[in-house]
Amino acid sequence: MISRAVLLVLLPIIAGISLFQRRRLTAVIGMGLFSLVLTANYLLHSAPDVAVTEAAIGAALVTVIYMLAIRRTGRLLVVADEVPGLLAFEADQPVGVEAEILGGFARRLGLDLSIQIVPYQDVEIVLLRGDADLGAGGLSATFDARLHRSREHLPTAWVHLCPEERFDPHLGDSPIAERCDYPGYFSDLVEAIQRNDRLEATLDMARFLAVSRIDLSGWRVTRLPSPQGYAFVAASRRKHLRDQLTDYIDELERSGALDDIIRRHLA
Amino acid sequence: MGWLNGTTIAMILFAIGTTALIIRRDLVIKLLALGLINSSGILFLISIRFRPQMVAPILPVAPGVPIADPLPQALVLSAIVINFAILALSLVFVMLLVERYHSTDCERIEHAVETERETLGNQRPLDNSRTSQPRRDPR
Amino acid sequence: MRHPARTILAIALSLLVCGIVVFDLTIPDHPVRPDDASLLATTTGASNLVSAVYLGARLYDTLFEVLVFTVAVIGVCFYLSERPSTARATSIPESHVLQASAQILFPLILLLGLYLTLFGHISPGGGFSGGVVAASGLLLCVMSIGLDTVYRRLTGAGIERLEWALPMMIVAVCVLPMIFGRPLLSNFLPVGRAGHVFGSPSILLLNILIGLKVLIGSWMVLHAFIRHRGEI
Repeated sequence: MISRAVLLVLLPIIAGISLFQRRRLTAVIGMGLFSLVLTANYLLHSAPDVAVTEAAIGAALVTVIYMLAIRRTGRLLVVADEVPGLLAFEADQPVGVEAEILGGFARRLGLDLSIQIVPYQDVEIVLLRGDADLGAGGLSATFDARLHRSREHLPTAWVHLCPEERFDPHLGDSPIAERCDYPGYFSDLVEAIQRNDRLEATLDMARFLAVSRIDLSGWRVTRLPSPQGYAFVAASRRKHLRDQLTDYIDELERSGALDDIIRRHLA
Repeated sequence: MGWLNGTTIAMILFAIGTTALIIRRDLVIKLLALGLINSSGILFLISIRFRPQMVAPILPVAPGVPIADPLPQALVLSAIVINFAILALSLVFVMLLVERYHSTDCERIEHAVETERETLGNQRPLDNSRTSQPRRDPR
Repeated sequence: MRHPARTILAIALSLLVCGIVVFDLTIPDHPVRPDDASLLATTTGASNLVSAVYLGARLYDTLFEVLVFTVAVIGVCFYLSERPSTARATSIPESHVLQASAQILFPLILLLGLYLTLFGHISPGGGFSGGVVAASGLLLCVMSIGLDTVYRRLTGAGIERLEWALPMMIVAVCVLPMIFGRPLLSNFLPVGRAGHVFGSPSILLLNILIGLKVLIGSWMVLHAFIRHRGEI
């Protein structure tokens, strides 16, 4: 009687905890554990047939199928936000300077390249969590000290964009100048500017070039100095990966292929 | 504690599953929440005919001991196996979507589909990614 | 919480749906009468009442559920076969612990699956559980010796040719009673003593067919997933 009550109460606790996890892997394993407790519940409700079936399916097959769908071995996982010119998708293929560098690097390592688009501010979070190997997409700001930055492949500058009415002449001293970011995805930002939403953002040069095709008459554009150029960022436990990437970019630069790529995409 | 039986817990699980289905934006977590809703329905069907002194519906049973109802158990038995097959099929569709739009975020995928539809003028966007003659794996 | 209004609305909606069920719920309290139970067991010859219900009395539902399973498996294999198969699909790291334990465990798991299938009408189990357990045994095999070896051995033994024959055999077993002059979808083989292994041969036959179907279907799903893995 009391064991039945305890197991019943355990069910929503496990389900609630595992479905609201940030990592997909934790959620899948949590639901596998939920299946196990559910099997015990079926047994205590005098349903042995159902319990045997649920045990075999929930723990063995469903968990394995989810793992196969979200597995990441054999792939180089890159999280990025889209930047036309550096890393964008055209008809399913990644194009751009960084896309080519990453493609060659993945081929060198013998892995498949897998690029996932996330909001700009999530790149750092995902890398710290360990869910991806590399961050890309025009990253020029300083990140957390636990992440490893590769060498620069392209210099850049920062541009602060704000509506006329909110322009502040002392922009260079304020903390906005130290952080290059914007909320959400880059495509959302482009749409918001097209709709004339009154927002502020600090963009790097490649993104600003993409945005500058829109009529920016009501906006004030201020150029800010950028401390560093574009680089890739490796996750916290992938220092070796960062070193390999730095060597690869050095090689490209020595052979002249880097300038070739840059000229082709950012002419 | 009269309220702590399988039916109420199944309803709580249904609520948790539906909430997670609406709130979470990741497609894989949405599928997990759908699986949870499935399991809650099965638990509900089994526990609705259960009284504390019942025994498994497998004869021989000592006289005087009530037997659990075999009908809801028979209904849900094959449902569990079929849920697995349908889950595999829906995971295949999620994998195809992620491969095409490079993100597991449902809002971003909707946005990308709308943009594609505007640029392609309302043709179905997935038609040009499939060959006209589907070829099977050589055996 | 990105959208607090949406979150609260979602929780409220879910609780409302549950509340509707609570207020409309009247659970009849008629326990299963022992005469009915023994009548069911003697007419179908199966002492596991659950098997007697879904393979004897309600075979119609089970037939269509098997068809749903078949269609889902066909869908998975069709959609995944168009994608390129990964060359490194079978490079699962071979651990000696896994190989050694799989040699001992795999026959035991298969035996368990066989027991659940064959004795499904007199003890808990049945075709569905037995097939799934045997499929998880095959999965252990794949994890220890690699997908290609297992695939070669299985196709060599002809197990994959059964995948189209089995649903037809199940439908045939359901339709066959018409030839014997009995109603459609009933158990046509003579019923022996309830509780005996051969007490209900048609339920035994159906359990074997369904067990094989579920085993082959789950194997095909797992094989398709391992060979053409996704990008998530």
